[in-house]
Amino acid sequence: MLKKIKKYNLLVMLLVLIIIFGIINPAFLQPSNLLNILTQNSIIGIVSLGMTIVIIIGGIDLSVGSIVAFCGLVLALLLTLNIPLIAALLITVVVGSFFGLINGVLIKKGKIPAFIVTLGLMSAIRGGGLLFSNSKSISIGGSELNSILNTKLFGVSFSALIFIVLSIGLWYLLKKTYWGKYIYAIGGNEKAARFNGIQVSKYSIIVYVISGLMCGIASILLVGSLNSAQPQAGQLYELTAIAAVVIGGASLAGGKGSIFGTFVGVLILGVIQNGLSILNVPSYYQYILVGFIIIVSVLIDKNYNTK
Amino acid sequence: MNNKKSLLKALLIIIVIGLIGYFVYQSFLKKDSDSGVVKIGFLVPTLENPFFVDMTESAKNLENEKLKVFIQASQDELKQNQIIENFIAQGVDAICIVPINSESIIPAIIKANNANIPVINVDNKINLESAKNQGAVLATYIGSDNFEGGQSAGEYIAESINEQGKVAILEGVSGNDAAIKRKGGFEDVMKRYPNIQIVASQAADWNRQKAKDVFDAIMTANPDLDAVFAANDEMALGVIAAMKNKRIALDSIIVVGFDAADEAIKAVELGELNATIAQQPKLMGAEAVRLVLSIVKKESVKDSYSTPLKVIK
Repeated sequence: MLKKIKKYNLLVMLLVLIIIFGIINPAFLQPSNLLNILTQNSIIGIVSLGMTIVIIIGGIDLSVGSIVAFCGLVLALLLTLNIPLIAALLITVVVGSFFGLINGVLIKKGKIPAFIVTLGLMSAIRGGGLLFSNSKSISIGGSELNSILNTKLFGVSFSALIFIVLSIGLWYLLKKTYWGKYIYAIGGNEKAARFNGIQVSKYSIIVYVISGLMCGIASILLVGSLNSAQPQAGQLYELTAIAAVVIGGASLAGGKGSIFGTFVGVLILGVIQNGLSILNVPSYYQYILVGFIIIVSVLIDKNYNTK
Repeated sequence: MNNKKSLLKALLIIIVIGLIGYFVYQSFLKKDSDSGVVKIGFLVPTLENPFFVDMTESAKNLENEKLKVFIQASQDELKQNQIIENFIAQGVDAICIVPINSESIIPAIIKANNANIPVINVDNKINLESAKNQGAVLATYIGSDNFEGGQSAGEYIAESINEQGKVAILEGVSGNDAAIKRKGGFEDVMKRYPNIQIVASQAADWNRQKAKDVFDAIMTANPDLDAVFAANDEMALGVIAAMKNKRIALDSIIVVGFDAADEAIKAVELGELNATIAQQPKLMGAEAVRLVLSIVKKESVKDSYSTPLKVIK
């Protein structure tokens, strides 16, 4: 019951925002603009999906932005070398997953706190990207990738579709499989989960690999939409993703959170950004409002939990 | 307890509505009838840099009942493109762009082209060759010739150190067009003076703090440095901060900046900074808007316009 109220609350917040922006400037409500919001937020959205399951197990992944940038550079480099698109895409997601694996192994086998490990990798991977790109952006020119991602199915861009499909996939994994139950169990009480025979390390490492994988996929959309890769791309993605996940009702203590909540959380942030931008409100206000909404949404959440 | 919850929920929604209501109020104040109004979207990398504040304010100053200028800023490539998409959705009549990256902005320009919205490139140049290859069209360009500015700085420094000695360069963000041109113009002049040696040339990303650290290292490696050319004023002020920290006499090293930001001009007046190259951002912003008006009236415009530079010493 309480969960339902929370979901409802989030949707109300989103709808209220959409209606208000729509009243102020009807241009906001144009279907093309609303779809724009979905497309523009698909990259950070996909990163946030990975962040959701990481936060559910009580972890954190600060390295997401750096992984996105690094994978983007790898992809752009491969494409400039005329490697077939499919192969380049596969290598890109493998690289992303590999970074996730390093995160997971160091955290679970090395028993180093997730905050420290991913903070370290955030810096190291960023440096690695700057090094191998010589701190220059890599242009892929007019690309196949760009035209594929801009292809629209029933008005919805391919980028947005990827985000939607991944959301549904992860939602299914979390809600309908044993794997999902284990993830929540680990986040809720790791010791109890271990006591009940759940292979905590294995499942936790898989979670970090998925987060890395999501970053790899996000980097594909990023490179596709810019026709180039930048070593300094993806900065502050970790904070935006954490914000979306937290607005979506997850708890940084673990054991709580949902893909649906994150999906709506991403849209709330996206609507604020797009709406204020269309209203020509300077970006300073956007930061203030986003900060406000993060705190308020956690406040509601806390209130429900402490009954 | 239930009452308390619903109270909180209601309070929350009221606060959100109230906040947004404030924006409604603001935008209703500014509201105008759409017909015959020329709306310009003006995208710059940041409004933390006085250079772009000057540029956008001078554009904004030209606003009247028939002309609206929307200013947005982002230093993130993806966000810049998204802002342009938002301008298109907003139905602007023209877009002025100072790109953060000369390549990644091109897909957004193509989108503007498809929506028949003319794009004016201001200051940082878009890579025209890439744009052409990808089928993006620019209405015109306005900015100053950074190469020429680099040359002026080079000549000033050569003269100040009697055409001999050791000099250093602090570069802008690697790969940035203005950074490359300023450095290129400076080096071009240095080549003509065989007794001047460039002992260090490093990127400090237009950033004061970074310039301070980078210059610290350069000074340590080259204690007998005679002059430094910082490719913008922020970095030049970082150089001065580094010298003050190390208690090095400010007149022992010639420091030249670029942009003539207010703070730099004050430093020149105080004798801390030797010179700064003045681009004229106010002129650029205003000219960009005038060019938009010409384009909207279907008057023909040249491919590129340049605003003059001057040495302030």
